Amino acid sequence: MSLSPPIGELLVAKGLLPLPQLEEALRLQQTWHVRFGDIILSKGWVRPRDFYRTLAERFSLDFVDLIETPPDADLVRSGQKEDYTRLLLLPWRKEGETTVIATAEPGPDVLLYVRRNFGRNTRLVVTSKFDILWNLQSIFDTDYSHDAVSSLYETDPGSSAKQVVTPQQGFMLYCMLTVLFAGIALAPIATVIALNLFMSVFYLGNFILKALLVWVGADYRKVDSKITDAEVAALKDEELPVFTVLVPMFKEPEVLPILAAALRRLDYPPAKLDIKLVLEAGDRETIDAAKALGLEGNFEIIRVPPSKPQTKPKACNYALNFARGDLLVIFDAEDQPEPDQLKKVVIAFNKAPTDVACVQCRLNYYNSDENWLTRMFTLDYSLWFDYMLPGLERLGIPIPLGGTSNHFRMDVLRNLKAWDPFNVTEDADLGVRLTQKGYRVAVCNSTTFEEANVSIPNWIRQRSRWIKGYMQTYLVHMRHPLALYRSVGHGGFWGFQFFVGGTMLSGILNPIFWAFYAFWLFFGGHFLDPFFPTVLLHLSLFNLLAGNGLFTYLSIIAPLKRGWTHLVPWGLTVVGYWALMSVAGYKALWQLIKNPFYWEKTQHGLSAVTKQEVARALQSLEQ
Amino acid sequence: MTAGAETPGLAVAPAAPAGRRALPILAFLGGLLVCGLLTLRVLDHGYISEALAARWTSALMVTSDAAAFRDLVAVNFPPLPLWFDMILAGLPATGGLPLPALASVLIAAILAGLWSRQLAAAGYGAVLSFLLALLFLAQPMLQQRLAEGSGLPFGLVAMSLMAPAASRVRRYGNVTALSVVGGGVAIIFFSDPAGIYLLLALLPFLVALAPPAFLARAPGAVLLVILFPVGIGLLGYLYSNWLFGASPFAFAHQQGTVLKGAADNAAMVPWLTGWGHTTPGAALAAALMALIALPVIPPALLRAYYPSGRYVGILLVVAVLVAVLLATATLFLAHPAQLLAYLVPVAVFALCEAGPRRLQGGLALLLALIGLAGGWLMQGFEAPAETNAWRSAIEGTAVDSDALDHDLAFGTELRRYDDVALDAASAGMVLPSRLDASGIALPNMERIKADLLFGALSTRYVAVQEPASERGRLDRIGRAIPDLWRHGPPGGTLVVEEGPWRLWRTAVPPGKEQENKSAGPARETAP
Repeated sequence: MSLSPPIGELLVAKGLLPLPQLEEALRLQQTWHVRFGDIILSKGWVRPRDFYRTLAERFSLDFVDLIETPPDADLVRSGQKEDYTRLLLLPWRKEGETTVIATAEPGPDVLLYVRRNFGRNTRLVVTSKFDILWNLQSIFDTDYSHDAVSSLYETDPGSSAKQVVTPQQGFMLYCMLTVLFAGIALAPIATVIALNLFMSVFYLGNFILKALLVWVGADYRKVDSKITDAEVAALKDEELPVFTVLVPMFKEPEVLPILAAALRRLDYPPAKLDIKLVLEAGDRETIDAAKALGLEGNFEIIRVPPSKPQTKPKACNYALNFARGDLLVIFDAEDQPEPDQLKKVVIAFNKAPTDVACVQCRLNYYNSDENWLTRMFTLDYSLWFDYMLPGLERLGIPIPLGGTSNHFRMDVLRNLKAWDPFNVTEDADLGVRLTQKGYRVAVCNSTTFEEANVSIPNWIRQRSRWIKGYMQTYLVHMRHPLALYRSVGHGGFWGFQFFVGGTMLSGILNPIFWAFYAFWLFFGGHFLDPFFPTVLLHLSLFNLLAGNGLFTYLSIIAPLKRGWTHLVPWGLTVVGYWALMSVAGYKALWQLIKNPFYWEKTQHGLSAVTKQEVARALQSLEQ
Repeated sequence: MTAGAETPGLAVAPAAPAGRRALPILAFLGGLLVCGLLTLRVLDHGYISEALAARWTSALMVTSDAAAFRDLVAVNFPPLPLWFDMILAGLPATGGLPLPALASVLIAAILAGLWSRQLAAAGYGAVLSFLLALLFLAQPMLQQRLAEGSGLPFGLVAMSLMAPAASRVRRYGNVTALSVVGGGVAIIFFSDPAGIYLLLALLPFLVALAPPAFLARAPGAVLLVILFPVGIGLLGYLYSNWLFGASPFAFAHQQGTVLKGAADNAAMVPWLTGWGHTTPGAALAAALMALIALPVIPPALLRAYYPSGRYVGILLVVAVLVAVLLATATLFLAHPAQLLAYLVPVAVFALCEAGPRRLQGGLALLLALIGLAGGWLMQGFEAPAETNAWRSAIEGTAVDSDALDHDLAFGTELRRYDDVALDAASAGMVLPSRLDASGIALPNMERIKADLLFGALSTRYVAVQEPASERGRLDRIGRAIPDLWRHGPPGGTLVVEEGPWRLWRTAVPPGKEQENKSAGPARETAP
């Protein structure tokens, strides 16, 4: 290879890059410590095809279009697909005895790899990154799909929700039901009292834990100023790692501009962002919408081939094959992360002990004032992310990760075989799995704003999936309770019982107690008296008054951290929200039995505020 | 997007040196000793207040009898002290001890630990913090309330946490601080009837506690956050009353005297007939009393480091004085000291806000000592009979009370009897003297309710007081069966007579007696 002038000069000479941009790119290269090409592509200053053609010229190599002339499938080896992805190369074809290797990154690493694996009789040609990734997906489609679905199940079946209930769990359930029915037959009052006592203790534990979590999580100094603006300002760009951003989407073309605009606003060197829009191969409308946005070179579209189960974790597992960052985050399509979020996360990882494998950022809503449901949803999320998750972290209880904005260390994520495609709250499951495997999850004081559900049926669909996922997660991690106890300690174990178990069970139990209570209230009588001996009666009364009072109070104070005082009075109406949760809880239970892996799709873009956000985003993209 | 009013740094107390970590424990032990000895001294000299006797009786009843537990726990007012007494009663080796006094002493000792910790965190030396905490704790107006079994110590703990929390609310709009203020308000409400006046007085000020930014946006939200705990607590309490007492206001029927305070005897209360008779007089006297008992407050507040601290301190002082006026105007208050005691935590708070650099430790100690003497003087000014009795007891003079002697003697006699109908609510020290309430049938039990309705008792014995006596007029059994004390039940025999008390054996039909025996405890004996 003979070298011509630097690529920047070539691009300027060919009129593909204006001089000021070249100077800017060179300045950024000094600051960011990345390759020149990554800068101009991530800034969208040069079209990728022009860049790679010029790159070929610079090294006096041929440029090939792998879409028009795909590589010879016989030459590629399945065992080396990770290397191909890492080095962005593919054996293209044989020319006599010579193997022609197509690469998007001609350089010493590629040369060394080619010599070692294909011998001296090789020739390099240049192609674009897109062509390499496209062909890798086409060739290894089946392998990637199989890995995405089965990797966790094959290597660690105990952690997979593919089997909803294990035979041992089934046997335990059978025994418990037998004891219950025998008790009801032989000593009905004593049995009902025992059952009543169990549930009362459960309620008591549930609200004591949640009160404790909120108390601990409300600490401003330790929670809300964990990472300060001064620390962010002191961070140097050259120290920042490459960050992979996964954005799994399905039939959500309408909100794509919001995400694109939000990602462009991120205060992070674009050349260090490896953004993957993870789309289902059949979802033409979203793929076309993504293409139409004319996204920069650091955006890639990953097309996930159809296979069962069709879930977000499977799509993420599939995309993980192409991720090149040291850290990885998942955002939803309508997410608007605060611009300094990635930097805060880098600092959080730097400050955290080495066993911290994931940093969860806060989620909240940009359309909180749209209707009653969005207000309640905002109170719910404020309580969950602003108070409870920090509380869980500080008390050493496994943190069920929430939807998006969870940032992982890539090595650990790959080691653990990433997400469970059979779990419909794969994030919650992964959070608990991380703790069980000896890692920790930290939380960070940065927020991602999302679209709150504006429609009750849509909300119930979403919530039922979450509760079903919590049920799956509980069943998976309670397969070996002793092992769980040993791995997370007694605080973690009981915290898991009440936090994950409590969250799913309270929605199921509440209507039963409400029904009994309402019946007694309206019709009176002493028919319930035998089931409430004095101590139990007072415990139940305490749960009724203090428990409900406390949970209402928590909803009232939930928005205060953010200074959203106008939402405070809405906390008084939280009982209506609990009723909706119970509806979702029963739907979840039914689905767990009937269709455990079915992914209830939440429809985004229904909000009027989202429509405004889309318009604003489109405007900013045009600028 | 985080709460704009909050700023880190200044709120952060430096980590305590190792030597200071033991300070709260030492102060707790010191408080236990001081309060324990003073309370023992007055009890030994025969000072037993009606409130102490009533609370002690309630504690014995709820721990001895499931039905009494069911009824009393729900309708007793204020409920918190009784709950605490019940917990204490559950501990080993507390049998025979005056549970309310024990509870008060324990809570007061906790106060000493808390105050010493707060003072040390503000920069005062460990020894000085220890001494100041004990000096404040030794205030006569506080000690009297400890010995009389009042719920005040609970209120003082709440106030001790509320004052600094209120300052944090004002300064940062801190969520936990708002919740602490809300929780404190609820604790005061449910532990001390006099505290209700304090809350009424505080109401207009509660909104003013919030940071200006919050106030401008949503003053109602601030009030909701602060008042929700007491609001929901009150609703729950009324519900429990309805559930167990058949009326949301059952507590008022049963414990009207607790809520009425000095109103029934207003003409005999020096304060209400003296300075408290007019509002300006009451205001002037209360302010002077506060100044005499706690002279440390004005200089400490004037030298407070943060304006917000000064603001909150002044607000609390004004609220307490307004509460004194309100309680005086409604004839509740027998003496301002009942409410001025709430200024003791405010004094500690004011000292903390000033810190040793602005108010030297020596001066603080001197002012606290002067306050101790001033507190004694102030307490004696227009003192009600109850206070005079306490002062006599503390001076070493035995408090003579025939009623108490009769109660103690009758209670001792009752140890030998079971299945006794007795209106314990108006029985003074009878039940504490009997040591437990098992085998005692109370007028609010279903069985006795029915008996009283039909005017015929089904218990083996019935204890009743002379209807003409002050307490006898309140005795529900005596009121339901007017001739019971004089003639006994039909066919009954007088078993014991002790002062105003008479114990009658009833002529229970043979079948019913057997029924009662099998239902009753094993102690039942004939004399």
